[in-house]
Amino acid sequence: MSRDWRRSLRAAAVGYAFLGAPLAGYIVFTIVPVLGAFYLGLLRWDLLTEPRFVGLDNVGRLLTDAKFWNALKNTVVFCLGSVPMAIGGGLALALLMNQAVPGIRVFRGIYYIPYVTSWVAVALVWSWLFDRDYGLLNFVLRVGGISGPAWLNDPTWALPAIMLVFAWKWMGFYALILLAGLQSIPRSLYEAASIDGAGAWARFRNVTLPLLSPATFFVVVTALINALNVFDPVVVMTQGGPNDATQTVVKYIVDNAFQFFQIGYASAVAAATFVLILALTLGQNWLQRVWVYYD
Amino acid sequence: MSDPIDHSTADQRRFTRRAALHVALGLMGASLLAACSTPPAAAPTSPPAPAAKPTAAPAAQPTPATAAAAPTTAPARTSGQPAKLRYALWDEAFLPIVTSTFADFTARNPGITVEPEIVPFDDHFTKLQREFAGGNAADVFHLNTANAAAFAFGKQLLPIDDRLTQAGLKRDDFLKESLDIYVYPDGKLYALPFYLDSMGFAYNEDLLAKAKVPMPKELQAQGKWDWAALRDMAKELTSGDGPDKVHGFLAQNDGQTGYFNFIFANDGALWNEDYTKTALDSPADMEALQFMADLILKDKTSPDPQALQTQAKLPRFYAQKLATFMAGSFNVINLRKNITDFHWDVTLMPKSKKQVGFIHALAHGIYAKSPNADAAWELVKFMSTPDQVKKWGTEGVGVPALKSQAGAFASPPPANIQAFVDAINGAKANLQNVQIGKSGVPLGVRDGVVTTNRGKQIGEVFSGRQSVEDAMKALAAEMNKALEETKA
Repeated sequence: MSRDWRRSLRAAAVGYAFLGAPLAGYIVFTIVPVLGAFYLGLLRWDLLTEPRFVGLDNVGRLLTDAKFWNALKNTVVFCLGSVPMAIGGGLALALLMNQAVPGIRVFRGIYYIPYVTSWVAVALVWSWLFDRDYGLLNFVLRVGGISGPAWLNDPTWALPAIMLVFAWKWMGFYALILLAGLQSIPRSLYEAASIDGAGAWARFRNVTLPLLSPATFFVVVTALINALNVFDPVVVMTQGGPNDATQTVVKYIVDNAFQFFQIGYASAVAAATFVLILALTLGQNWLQRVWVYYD
Repeated sequence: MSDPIDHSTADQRRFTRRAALHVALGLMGASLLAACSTPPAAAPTSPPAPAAKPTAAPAAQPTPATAAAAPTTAPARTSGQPAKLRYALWDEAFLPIVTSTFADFTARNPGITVEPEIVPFDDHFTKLQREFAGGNAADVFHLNTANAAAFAFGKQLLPIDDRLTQAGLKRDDFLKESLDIYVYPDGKLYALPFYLDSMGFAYNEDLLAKAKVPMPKELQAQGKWDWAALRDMAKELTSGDGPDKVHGFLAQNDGQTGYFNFIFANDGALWNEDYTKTALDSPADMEALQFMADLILKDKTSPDPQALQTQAKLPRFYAQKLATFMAGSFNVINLRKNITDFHWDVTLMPKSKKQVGFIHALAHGIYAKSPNADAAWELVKFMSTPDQVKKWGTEGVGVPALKSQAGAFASPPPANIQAFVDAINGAKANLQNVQIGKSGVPLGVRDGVVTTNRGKQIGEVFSGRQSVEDAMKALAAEMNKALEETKA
C-alpha cells in the first residue's frame, strides 16, 4: 500500500517536473500579468505620477463611457461578420482541398501562406488594394462602371473591409484544421450513406457536418477569440478611424494605456474584456453538448 | 551677453581639474560609488561634505555647488567611470548632426560615449513615458513643449537652473522665444532649447513660372500676399487628373504645419483668455478652419486626407505634384537634400487679419533618475556651446537657440531663407502648458487626449463628413472635459 502510494507520488513528481518549465512560463507571463491587470484596474495611474487607489471608479466610468460602448459594438459587429466569413470560407476551401486533384498539396500550401504572413505586411498590402484613388479594388469596380467608396476612409465601409482582410488571413488556417477533420471521417460511412440512397447534399448534411463538428467547434472558439482580440489590422489600416468607426475594444485598451496614459482605466477595460471572453468561451463549452458529436 | 566660448573653456578646465582630482582619489572614488547604495558606510569616505551628501550625489541633485562640493559629487560619474549615454531623438535627418557632435564630445571626454536611439515621432514620447515607468529611460532626449511640461509634472526631468548657473550660462544667453515655452509653471527650467523653428511658405518656382503666377515673394514685397492671393494662386497651380494631378497647395490636418498658423493669422487663439477652455469653437478659429476646408473640398486645390495617405507632403513636393506648401524651417535640411531638378524658395505665410505664424523650439531633457545624470548634463552643456548649437542653423534645421549663434540659419538655399527668421517676429508659440499650469495641471499631461481628439474632428471636417461648426462643438466638449479631468 505505502509502496504504491510512494510510486504514484514519484510518478506525479516526475510529471510535474516536466510540466514545470512550461507552467512556470505560463504563470509568470500570463497568469500574473492578468491578475496584475485586475489590480491595476483599481488604480488611477499615468506612468508619471504616483498611482492612486480609486476602487471601482474605473468600472463606473466604463459603464457610462460612450466610446467604450462604441468600441464594444464595433467588436461584436466585427465578430458577427468576420467569424462566419472566415469559417465559411475555410470550410469551402477544406472541401476543395479534400478533392483528389493533381497538385493539391501545392494549393494547400498556397492557402496557408496568408496565415504565416505577418499581420503588418498583410494589412499594408490590403490598404493599398483598398486605396480610393489607386487601389486595385476600385480600379476593377471602375472598369465595371461602379465608383467605389473610399473603403478605409469611409465610416460605412471601413469595418467590413477589415472583416474581409481578417477572414482572408485566417481562412487558410481554419481550412487546414477542417481538412484534417474531413480526412478523419471514415469513407465507409459515405459508402453506407450512398447505398442508402443519400445524394451529395444529404451526405454532406448528415455525415460530413456532424462528424466534422469537433473540428468546427475548435475553429469557432479560436476564431471568436481571434476576432474579439482584433488589433493589428486596425492599427495598420485605419488607426480606429474614421471617426471611431473601426475602434475595437483592444485598440481602445491600447489607446488608453499608451496614448492617453490612463493605465488604470485601460486595465479595467482589459479586465472587462477578459471576463467577456471567458463567459463566451464557457458558454460555448456548454453549448457544444448540443451540437458537437464525438464518436 | 558675455562670451559663451569663455564659459565652455572654463568648463573644460574645471573638468580636467576634476578629472585629475579623481585620479588622485583613485580607489577612494570607486569605493564612494560602491557605497552609494549603503548610506551609512558612505559617510566616512566623503571629506568635506556633510554626511548625507554623498548618498544624494548619484541621484544627481544639483547641490548648491561650492568649489568643494563639485569634485566630490560630479566627477565620480563624469570622468572616472566610463559612461555610455543613451540619446533619444525622432528625426532621422538630424542623425549626421548629432553624431558629429557626439564624436567631438567623446574626444574631449574620453570614457563617455553616446549612443543615439531613433524612435519615430509617434512613438518617441510614449516610449519615454513607458521607460520612465520602468525606471530606465534614455539619459538625454529631444523634447517638445507639451511633453516637457508633462514630464516635468511627473518629476522625470532633471532641473537644470543650478547647473546652468554653475556652467556660467544665463537664461538671457538664449533666444527668449525658445526659452519661454520651456519655463515650467513653477518658474524653473527642466529642458534646454537648442533650436527655434518657424513656418514659411515654400513654393516650386518652376511650376509657378510655368503657370505664369507671380512669385509669393514679390506679392509679399508689394503687400498683396494674403489668403485671397493664396486661394487664387492655388487654383492657377492646380491641374491634371488622376495620377497626373498637381495640387496648388496643401491644407494639412496638423497644428504646427497647418491650422495653428491659419488660426493665428485670422486673429484667433487656441485657448480662451484664462486658458480654461479651448477656443477652437470661436468664430475666428472656425473661419480659419473653413478656409482650409474650402481649399480641400470646394476648390479641390489641396489633397484631401485620404489622398495624403497614399503620398505624403514632402514626396509630393519633390515629385512636383504639389506646387506650394507650408514648410517648417526643420524641413530645409530635407528639401536641400532631395530637390535636385527644380528651383524653389520660401516666403512668409500669407496674411489674413495679421501676418503671423507658429513657432516652436526643440529642447534637450535629461532623465531625472539617470545613473549618468552628470555625464548627461556634460553632454547637454556641450551641445549648447556655440560651435555645436550653430550646426542646427548651418545644416538647415532652425535658428540656433543661443543668441550669439542665431544668425547661423541664414545661408541659402533657399535664396530667401531669411523668411524663416523674419517669421519669428511676432509669431506665436503654444504656451498652453505654461499658462494652464498656473491654474492647475499642465495640459501636456492630457496632451494625448487633446491632440488625438483634435486631429480626429478636424479630419472629419477636411474629409467633408462634418461641418466645421458641428465638429468644433463636439471637439470643444471633449477637450473641455479632458481639461476638467486634468484638474481633478
